[in-house]
Amino acid sequence: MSAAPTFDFLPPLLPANAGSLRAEVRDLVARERAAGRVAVKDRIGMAYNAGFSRACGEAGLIGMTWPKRYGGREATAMERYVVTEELLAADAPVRGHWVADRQSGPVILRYGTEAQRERFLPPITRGECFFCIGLSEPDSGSDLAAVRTRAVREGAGWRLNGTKLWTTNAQNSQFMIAICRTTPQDMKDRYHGLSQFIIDLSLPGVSIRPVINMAGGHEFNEVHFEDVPLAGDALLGTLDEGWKQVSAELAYERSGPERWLSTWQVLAELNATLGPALGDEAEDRIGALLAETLTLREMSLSIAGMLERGMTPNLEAAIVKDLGTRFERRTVEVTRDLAELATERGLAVPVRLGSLLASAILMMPAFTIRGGTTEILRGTIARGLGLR
Amino acid sequence: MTSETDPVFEAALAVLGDHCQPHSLAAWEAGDMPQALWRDLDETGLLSLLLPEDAGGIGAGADTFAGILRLAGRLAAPGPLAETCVGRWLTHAAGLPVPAGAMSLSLDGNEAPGGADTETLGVLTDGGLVLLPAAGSTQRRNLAGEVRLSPAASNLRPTALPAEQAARARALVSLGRAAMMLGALDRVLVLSLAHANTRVQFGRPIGKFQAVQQNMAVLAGGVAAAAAVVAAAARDVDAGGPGLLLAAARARLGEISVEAAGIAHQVHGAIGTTREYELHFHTRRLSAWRAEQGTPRAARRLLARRFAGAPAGALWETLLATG
Repeated sequence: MSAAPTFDFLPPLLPANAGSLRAEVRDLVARERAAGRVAVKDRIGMAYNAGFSRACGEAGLIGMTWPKRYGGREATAMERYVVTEELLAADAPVRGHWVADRQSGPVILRYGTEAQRERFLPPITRGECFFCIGLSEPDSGSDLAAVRTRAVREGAGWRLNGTKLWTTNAQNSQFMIAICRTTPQDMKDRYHGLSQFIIDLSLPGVSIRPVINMAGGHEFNEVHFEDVPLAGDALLGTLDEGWKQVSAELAYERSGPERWLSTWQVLAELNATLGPALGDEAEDRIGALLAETLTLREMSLSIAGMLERGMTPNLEAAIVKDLGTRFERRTVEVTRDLAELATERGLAVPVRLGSLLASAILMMPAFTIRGGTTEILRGTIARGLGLR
Repeated sequence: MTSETDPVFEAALAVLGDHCQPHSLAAWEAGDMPQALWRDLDETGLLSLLLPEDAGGIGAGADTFAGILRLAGRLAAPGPLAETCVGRWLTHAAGLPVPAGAMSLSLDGNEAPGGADTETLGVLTDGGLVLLPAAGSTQRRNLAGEVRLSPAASNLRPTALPAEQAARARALVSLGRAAMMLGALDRVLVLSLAHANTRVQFGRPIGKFQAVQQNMAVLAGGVAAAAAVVAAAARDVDAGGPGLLLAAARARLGEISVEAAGIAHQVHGAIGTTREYELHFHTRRLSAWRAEQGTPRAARRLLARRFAGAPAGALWETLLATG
């Protein structure tokens, strides 16, 4: 029998310059808003704007924690956290560089060769080079060991065949880091024989087809590889050990503020408009949402601090994603109830709130699926508790 | 929050762990007084936890206080522990003689914890602090069978307090309850996990079933959230902040405690509903404590009113100013 964990959320190590960093981001967003690159949107979701990504690069806000020789500013993970949180709360169009900054760059820094670092990291930090993630496939969703995209040795390089699915932002990305099978699956160790590759999406044999979501938006893609010739240096990290690299990547992905800020605009608009108009009932329900926001933020902050201390709070990170996405759903439910209450009382639902809510209702099913379904996450938590 | 390596925590664990056993909990609920426990708590100085060192106390801050109360909650310790610690600090700060033994503290004349031979009941209102003999108050038992005192009407003139001290005392008393709830949640998780790992049905421990695992994950998530927000609330109280993280803690605990108790009982099955098994000590306390020394509803209202009507684009910045 394993002992239950005692959850100790260590105090966050908020950097002394948090205030000036926030101001830096707010100034940038205000300037970019004036330049027409940051809109006040009437639907939820992370927007894409290549110009804004370049502006972030110029401002030194991409790859902040990376070494200066690759274009970073050697900032701490907490400093990066502060910037990320500000950009998301401002609903800034960070989609372009989001994945490269959070995931692809750090993976290249950790597992890449010196040549790969020198080739990819500087353009990423300039906001000129965007990445997407190639994990899921038509027959491999939650079960990543089932990937069938294959890279076969050919001369000094590889030949790639297969299909990646649910690839967010592939249409705007120059590169994908994909996990592919390089050695046939052995049922005794299903996760062995997978390798990560950096794939140039402009190569012959790559085709990208949009997959429109139920809200009518184009975020997902299906990326098909047909006899794509990869150079030898497309391999990232150790051959056949890609699974371990991906697992490390996932741990960093789950506790960020993006896991509970997707519906922030809905809550902020509700609180600004219908909240004050509806009295007690709205107070009670909006107060509950604000309490959850503050709690989730403390959890994210604390986990960022633990990561910076060199700890690996994987259990806590999975919990943040589970709680965060449930909270986002609850925000939508509360807003829908209060909008109905307003209508019942003859109050008009403000136009922007109505549109944000409509888009959130349609986006909501995805919250508890992307980045690991709730069921998979809870399985991870159960494993962390010693139940499996 | 204070943890295992802190000498104050170690002392508290030694005393509380020694006395708070399931059979003692049952005996105290049946009317026995936890005199030996409270004598030991007093002798080790734990009741003077918040008193400044130059007044013979430990001079601990809200963070250590919350850590000790979390432990007390985990062990279902009897009597007004948080209130005695805060009451001693407050009476000393107000220039009044510090009452000996157990004392309680009522906020605005609301019900306050009793038991453990509580002699003095302090009543904190906007007008200041009044110290009453606890014997004059009306007694009742809460859902967990704990003694609760309602102060009698009094014509005594309150001792006026600086606003800062009064606010800190209110915050500490509410934080104490929140930390005890977190402790109770810790224990509920431990018991549920142990049960899920050992109770065998259909040839395997019930914790091997995915349906049970999914519920246990939700339970653990609630406990984790509670731990994070109570720790943040303690830092907020120490910093003399506006109490919004404390309000967040009380609001979240109101919901988390209900969800956690529900799952814990479901995981335990019938045995969890009996008096002979330990679980009820903690789930009954969670049910009672959520609305003591503050309520989740009041906490939600406080948060909502603080931010109501903030322009959408400014809410984030306003929220971060919470400390």
